[in-house]
Amino acid sequence: MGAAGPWEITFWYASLLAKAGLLGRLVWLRLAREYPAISAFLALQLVRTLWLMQYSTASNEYSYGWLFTEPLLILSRALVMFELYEKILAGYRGLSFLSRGTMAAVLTASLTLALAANYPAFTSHRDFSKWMNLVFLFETTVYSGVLVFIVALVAFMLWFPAQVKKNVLVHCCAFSAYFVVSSASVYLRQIDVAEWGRLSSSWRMLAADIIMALWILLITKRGEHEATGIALRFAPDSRERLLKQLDDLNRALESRRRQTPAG
Amino acid sequence: MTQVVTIILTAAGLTAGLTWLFWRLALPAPYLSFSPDWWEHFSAERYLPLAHLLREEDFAFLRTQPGYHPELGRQLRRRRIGICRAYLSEIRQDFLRLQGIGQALLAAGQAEPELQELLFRQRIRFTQSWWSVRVQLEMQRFGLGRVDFAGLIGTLDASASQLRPALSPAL
Repeated sequence: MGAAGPWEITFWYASLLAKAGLLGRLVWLRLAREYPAISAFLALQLVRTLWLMQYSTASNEYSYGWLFTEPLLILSRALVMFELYEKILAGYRGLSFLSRGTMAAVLTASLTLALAANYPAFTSHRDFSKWMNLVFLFETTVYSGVLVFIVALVAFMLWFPAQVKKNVLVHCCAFSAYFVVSSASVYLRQIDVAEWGRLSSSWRMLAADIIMALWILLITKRGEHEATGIALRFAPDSRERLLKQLDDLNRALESRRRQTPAG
Repeated sequence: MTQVVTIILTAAGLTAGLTWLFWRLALPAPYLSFSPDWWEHFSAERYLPLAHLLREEDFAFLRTQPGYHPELGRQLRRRRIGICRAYLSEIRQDFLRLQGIGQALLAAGQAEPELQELLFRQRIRFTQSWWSVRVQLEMQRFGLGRVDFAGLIGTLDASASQLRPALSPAL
């Protein structure tokens, strides 16, 4: 694969700014502690980008630097999904169906399926390095497996709603979109590295920049306290009003009980 | 080129699907009016007349009337099915209210976490019964089979009974 063109370099610098911006926003909103895996992942990605920027994309240093750090970032993204899953689970506490054991089984099944589906596309070594192929196979397997898991989880949340923080949904949505874009770009690259290698990399970076820009805009302090509309609401205003209604109801029932002599 | 188009279309389809799912999740929940009166007067028994709406005896009686025409029978069936659908929609609203009460109690920390499990089981049973009735209603349009509302009404009644102790522990 040749050196990156001017557009790709521009997207690269933009992604550096976006990553720094997103991390900065999390720190600014004091959410970095709330989402340690996401913050650590963003910091890791930022350091990696800064380190690789000193090399030409056509150099061996860049290729090996990318090759050895990419699996770490892929695993970090998967860990982020676990962090988000734990946050979602908080809204479903008490539900044995969503135990960690069940989820591990679902995730194992989706990863196995993803590996079986992706393996044929990565067996013919058209790339200069079989290790590169292996990293791409690992990447698409993890991303598509986690994606199947997220889709199943979100579909379940639609059917059986509970209160989930708005920010958690924003994180989930951003990572899912990134997984789709990354997997698609890796597949495009596999068609013909010479023709699609650089182009798919540029598209992936552009899409990642757009996703991160939207992410920065959608993450808010309010989103941390505001649950999404997935839990049924009884009144258009606040939870307090609903709780007051329930209190009133209990009081009304209690006073009626006192007025009625025991039979 | 076909491969490129397939990859791009698949990615676009997946992105659209995911966007739709997250958009649906982020949408404000339906506004359901709730008052102590509703809870106090709520009874699944108000839906019992449903069981008589599609009784075969009514259609048989109509056939014996002078001037009967098959179109009359079809019209009656269509109207009755329409009424049943309206009732079904109300049953669903009532069930969602009950689930909402449970979720509100959980969110307020006024109920044990086990209530979540109970609400989940209720939803499974209700979804099964509701879809079963929906399918039976569709078949009724062609005069096939019978519609059994007892299961659905029973599920709604059981859901309310199970929630009662959680909602008013003083009683």
